[in-house]
Amino acid sequence: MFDTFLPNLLNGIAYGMVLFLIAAGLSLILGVMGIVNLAHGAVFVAGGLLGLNVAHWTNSFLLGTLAGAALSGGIGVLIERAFLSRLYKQDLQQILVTFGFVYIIGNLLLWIWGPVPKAAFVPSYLSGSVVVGGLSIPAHRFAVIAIGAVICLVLWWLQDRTRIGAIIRAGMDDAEMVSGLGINLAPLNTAVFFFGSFVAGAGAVIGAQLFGSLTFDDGFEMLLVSITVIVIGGVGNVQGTLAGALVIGLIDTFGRVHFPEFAQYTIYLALIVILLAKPSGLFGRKL
Amino acid sequence: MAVLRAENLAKSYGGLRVFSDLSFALEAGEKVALIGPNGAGKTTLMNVLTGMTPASAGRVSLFDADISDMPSHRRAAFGLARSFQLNSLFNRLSLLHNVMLAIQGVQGVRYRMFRAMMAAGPNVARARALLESVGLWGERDTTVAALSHGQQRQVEIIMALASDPKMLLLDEPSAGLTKGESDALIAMIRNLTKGTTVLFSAHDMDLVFTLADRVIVLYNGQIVAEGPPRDIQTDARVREIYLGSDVELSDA
Amino acid sequence: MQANDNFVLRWLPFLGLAAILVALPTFADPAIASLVVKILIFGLLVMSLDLLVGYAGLWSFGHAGFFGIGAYATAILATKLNVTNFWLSASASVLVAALVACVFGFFALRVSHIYFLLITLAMGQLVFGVVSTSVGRVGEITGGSDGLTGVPYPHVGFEITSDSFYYFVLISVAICTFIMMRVADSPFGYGLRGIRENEPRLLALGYNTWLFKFIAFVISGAFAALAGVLFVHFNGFISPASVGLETTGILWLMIIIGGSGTLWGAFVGSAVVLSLQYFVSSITPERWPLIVGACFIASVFLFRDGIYPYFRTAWVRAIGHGGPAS
Repeated sequence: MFDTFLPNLLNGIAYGMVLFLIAAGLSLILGVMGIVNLAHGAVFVAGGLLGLNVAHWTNSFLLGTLAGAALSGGIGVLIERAFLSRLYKQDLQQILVTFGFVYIIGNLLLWIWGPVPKAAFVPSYLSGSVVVGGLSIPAHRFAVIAIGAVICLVLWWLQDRTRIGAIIRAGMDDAEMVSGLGINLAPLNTAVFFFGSFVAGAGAVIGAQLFGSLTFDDGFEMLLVSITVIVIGGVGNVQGTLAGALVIGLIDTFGRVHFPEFAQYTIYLALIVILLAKPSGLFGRKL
Repeated sequence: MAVLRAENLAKSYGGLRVFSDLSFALEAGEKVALIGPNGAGKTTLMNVLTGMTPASAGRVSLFDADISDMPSHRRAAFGLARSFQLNSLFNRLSLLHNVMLAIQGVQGVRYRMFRAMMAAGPNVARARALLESVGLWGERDTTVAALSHGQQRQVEIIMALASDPKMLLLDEPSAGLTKGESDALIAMIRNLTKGTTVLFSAHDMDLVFTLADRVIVLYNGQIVAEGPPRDIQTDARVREIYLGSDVELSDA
Repeated sequence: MQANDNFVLRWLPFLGLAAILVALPTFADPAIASLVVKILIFGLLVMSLDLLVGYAGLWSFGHAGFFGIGAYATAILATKLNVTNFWLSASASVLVAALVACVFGFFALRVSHIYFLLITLAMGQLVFGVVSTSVGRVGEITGGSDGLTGVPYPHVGFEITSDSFYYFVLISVAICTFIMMRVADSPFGYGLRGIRENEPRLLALGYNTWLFKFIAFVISGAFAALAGVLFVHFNGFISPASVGLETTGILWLMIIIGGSGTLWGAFVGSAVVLSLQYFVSSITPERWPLIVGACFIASVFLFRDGIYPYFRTAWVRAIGHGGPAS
């Protein structure tokens, strides 16, 4: 059993890192704006598809990631600026608008990229394998973990050590107070939407290798998994999202290996259990 | 037997002590005013008495039955009713529907699922009587949100009275009203609470002197004085508390 | 005499509609009749969701799950257990859904708003996950991602053909609508509205609001399951595709377009969306989701209260005073 444990562990952690990159944006938006961006999964896939296209075309992993992240960020800004900002304080209406975008973006992706999944891009310098403890593990796995960890640390630093991070954390506690202090909330909302979507888009390109390929449909599933991640981990902070992501990544990976019959819904059970035991999640703030 | 009795009631939020060791009782038919500067804990006390917030310590009893652990909706069934400092109505429903909901609150009929609410003759009659007593029967189909603030305040009080409660708590009933509206409200309360036991918090001294048999003064979470309005008016400690605030202890 | 005139006038549009519906199979294309059956079934489903959304103010995002339980239960009974007596299978299906609703509701109602949205979403996906399982015993029973086929018309004692099925659905939905309307006007129904408007006040007035919400949740799930039962008889088969978040989304679209909190709005929404789908599918079926999304967003901005209130207000103005109850 040990021969499968280590690869599964690394797979689980790598998957968790990708989930972190996606869920971080969702958590940030929920924490700051109080709404669930149901279009987040679609935004993730959009960035992934474009990013992979650019990566294959330019043979540059970096360019692909940046392109994908930029597209995702751009869509995020569009949704927030053009639509959500006009529905001030109407949480349900905002959520419904994001839901509408799920359909629109998904269908546009199908229209543009077609139903055939887009192959992931692995740069030549990562296409080899690393031998660990007698087992051969794709180098890209480690890259995903490393990149994810770096981005996570950057976000953590932003959250705890910068002024913008402090503003965001304050805004989660008391938005009115923050605007009373003269800080304009509107650009903050846009920035949060941009940033969250940007990181998700990057995560799509980086993490596509774990799935082998990416297709327009994946957004839905990713949305649901991300929701599970942020609820389990707790909304609004990096530590929580990371914890939730790793937990889900590991549960899902090991679950599929050992209990394939439950594969479809283990995480939903986990979600429900957590929502009942501790609705604010592992690291969450009180609701 | 006292109608409402508080024994050693205390409430803290974490390190913040709102009030502690409060004990008082209301006898049947008494009208008691609760006064004190802002932040003295009047609304919190009302929340604890009605069960919206749990007490940190102490006991609340209604007709000698301990209701300290009873959720707020069950205290209503026991005869405890309350109005809120900020109008708390069913904004998008009509005035008549608002009052009907209030009347039904303590009746088993509220669970009925098949017969129309408006078919309950006695309840509709009671709603009519209540609304006519404040001259609002003509507005019965108006959405409550469309009424004036003064009218909404009247509705707020009517809702609390609708279930014919044995113990009525009014939280700053004349809050936000003009002098004229306030006078009308005071007259309304006087008329409609003839036999009811009432505890009301107030900043408005007109209200206190017109309605109250007894006054309880709350300051810094403690009862510092208790007695008939006249005595409170001349009490040295009370004078000291209000010195510097813009509430004048003059009578109507 | 005045009261009678008023009654007829108020209900004239509905009487007219009823007349058209009753006569429809005689003059309309079978495809249209089929569309109307689908509209009625989904109208019932949306109405059951509206009880939660429009009346109690609960944002349930897992509603397709109950629909799916009703459909799958009937399909399983018919194709795996050979139970085809409608009265038996429909009762069993609705009962199962009601029991699941009791369990789901018990847990979901501990949280509110966004978290209630998320937990009901998860519960809906849980149902989806169970019925899409292709592995093992569960997979055998549910048919996995292919679903279950071969569900016949209901056996009610006498034979139902495709013609009489139309009337079967019409009558069933009419009865359910009648029940829902009574519930809406009852003290319980107004209690739900009170919860949506101002739950703390309702609590202070003596209402056990949790119990109200719980009962509403179970009733809603039961009616949704009934819609599922009718659907699987109509469709002949059921697959996981009809049970997931996409279907719940369409229901929400119907509520927004038709008007929440009005019951009749459910049928307006169902008619608009399904007619649009029928129309779009004949021209460009691949772009249907795009249209759905655009409609969603447009509706949120344009139809504050949905279409139905416009009709109601217009009719009330036309006849003078006293429109139909909502």
